[in-house]
Amino acid sequence: MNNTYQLVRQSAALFDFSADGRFFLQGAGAEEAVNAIIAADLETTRELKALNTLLLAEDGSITAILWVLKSEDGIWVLCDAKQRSIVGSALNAAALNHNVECQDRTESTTCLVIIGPAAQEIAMTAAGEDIIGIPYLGLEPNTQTNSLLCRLGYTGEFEYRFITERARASELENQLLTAGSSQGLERGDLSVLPLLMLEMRSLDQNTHIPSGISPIEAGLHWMVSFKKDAFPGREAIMTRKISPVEKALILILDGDVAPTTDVPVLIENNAVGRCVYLAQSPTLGKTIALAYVQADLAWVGVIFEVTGQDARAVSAPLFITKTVTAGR
Amino acid sequence: MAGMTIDQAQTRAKSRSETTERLKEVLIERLMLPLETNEIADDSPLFGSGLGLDSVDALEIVVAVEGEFNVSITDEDMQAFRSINTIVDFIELKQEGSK
Repeated sequence: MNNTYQLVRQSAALFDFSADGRFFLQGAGAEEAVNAIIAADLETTRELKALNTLLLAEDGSITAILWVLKSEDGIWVLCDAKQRSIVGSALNAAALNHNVECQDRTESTTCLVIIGPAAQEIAMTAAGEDIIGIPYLGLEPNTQTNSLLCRLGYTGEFEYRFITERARASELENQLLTAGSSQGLERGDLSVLPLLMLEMRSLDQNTHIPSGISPIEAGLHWMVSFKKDAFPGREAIMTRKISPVEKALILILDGDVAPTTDVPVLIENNAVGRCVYLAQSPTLGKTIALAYVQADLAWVGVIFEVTGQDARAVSAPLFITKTVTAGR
Repeated sequence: MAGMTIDQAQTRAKSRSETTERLKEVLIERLMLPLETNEIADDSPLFGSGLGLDSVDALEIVVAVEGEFNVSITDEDMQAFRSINTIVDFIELKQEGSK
């Protein structure tokens, strides 16, 4: 775990996201079909740009976190492996309504991802120097790797995703590992990603977002276009934003706590929230937690009690990454 | 017993929420953001995928924060401006230091 963590924070690691859902909609009406079900507005997104948004239930709770990629020939929708079925159903229904085809390309494609401060340099070696021109949230077809190359990211480090045909998975993996050999690029352990994400206040749906939580409680307002006229869950979100019951907070604990979940957050021995995730941050050398706390107390600087220790609510991101520092 | 008392926690929450709300109002006005204060999460990234601001907006943030909160901001300080919350941290730190 620590090796992957250090690789991502100091150099780069290669991850296989192939199990995640990948859907493709093509033809007139594809954009409208996707836009009908997502919480952000795809109409305001330019071609060759990505949108990080949500699929919501009618009660406003988060069904899936999505990346929507507006490519030259259609719309890609990426989601976590666990949400593949429900996202596929929603997309298929929307596609049917707009008379377009929705293809589940999860099995026919692969997705390899390089994450870390050296990821850009490695991607340039593998895919050509021109890729330095891809902005954050940008994408373009890349002939050198025969893939769709996207620059996304949740960890505060460079992240380049390569999507290509499944039959080319080994070839692409070798190409990337060779390109990154001088930077020590190795395969990474996916289980470290929730920690790397939380340090930057990105949330992993399966680790950090309990059932029933909306983007308002999770602090993911920026994934929602509040001015958009209609999307599933809109009415509930507009109500929840006025008076949220609880809010997500990052806490830093005074001492070490074994990684765990469902730990109460206390003030004077009364539960005012719960930690859904605790882990040791190697960069900070401290235990960090993601807690959902009653909204009137969920503010930075409040010190709670968690497992008998002081737990201070702090701002995010928790630190400035090497990628950001080097970019100045 | 660890942590604050409920009175301390409520006092702290009130102070923080007032500064945060004021900052959001100032940024919405100065940057002409098509948002209401309750549509911005306190930890929303300012740049990139969050509020989607750019380097021109960053300069406007500096002018707005200096004017509204009576603090001075150096280029180095600006590097810590990553979210609404990190700006509020900066304001609190400066205001505490001037007491």
